[in-house]
Amino acid sequence: MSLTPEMIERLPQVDGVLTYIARQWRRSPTI
Amino acid sequence: MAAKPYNLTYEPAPGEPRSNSRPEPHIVPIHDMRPVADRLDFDRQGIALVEARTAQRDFYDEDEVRRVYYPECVDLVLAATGGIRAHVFDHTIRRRVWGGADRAPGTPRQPVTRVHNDYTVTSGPQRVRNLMGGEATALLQRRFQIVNVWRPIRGPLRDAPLALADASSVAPADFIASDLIYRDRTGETYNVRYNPAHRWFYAPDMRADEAILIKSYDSAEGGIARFAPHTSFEDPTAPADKLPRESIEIRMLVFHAS
Repeated sequence: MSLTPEMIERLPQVDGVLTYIARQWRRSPTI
Repeated sequence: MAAKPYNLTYEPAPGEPRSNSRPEPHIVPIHDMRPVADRLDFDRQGIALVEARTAQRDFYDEDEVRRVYYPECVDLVLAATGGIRAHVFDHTIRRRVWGGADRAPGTPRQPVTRVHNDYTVTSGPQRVRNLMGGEATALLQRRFQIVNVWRPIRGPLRDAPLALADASSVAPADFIASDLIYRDRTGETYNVRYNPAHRWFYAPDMRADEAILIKSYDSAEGGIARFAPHTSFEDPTAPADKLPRESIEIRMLVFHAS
């Protein structure tokens, strides 16, 4: 049986801080 | 936005920024993958947790790693993917030094703390061209993958475990191609934008006789997992006196029959 959202919701979990990239970035002045 | 994000792998000249992008932290639920490990589909989620005993005695012995561990990982990945040939091209050992920065001179490689994928639609095939010489053109006519095999060198791992995204929960628009600039070359990886649809997993208290497989490239399209973003994170339930992480990852090209 494949993984379903309901199965995932029932799993033990921790809340973790994950670092994504912000939606804006600067033009590089040198590269 | 026209400019492409970049990160330097080395200390820049004074006044030169190391990156032109900003980190954006998000608190997300990270699910225990153990109860559903046998339901994870490497072609759907792009990740797997496997039992993987090893005959390797000393992961800091480079010769032994190449002689003993590389072939073990090839067997593991060919069995998991159905590939017919694999070529291991590098490995990285990370040994946590409290307060140490990744790629700092004199410091072992440190856990990566941003959500990323090692290859992109461009740099995946380029890796084959760079590594496989005259065979590359023919090999690129068939399905190929780039797969990481990751394991703690000692366990149970409580410091900086890996968080792994279910590849099927990551939209194409969430991937941001970014330059990873070395002194002598430029690689391309994906950074990832936050999306509340992402589903995250980890393996609590991971043991040294277990391994995680991560698909960081797949040439197949049409609903197949092509990229599985990942990052280290701090488990808020870990004890304060946890042992610092020691881990090894190897990366390989995997070629299929058609």
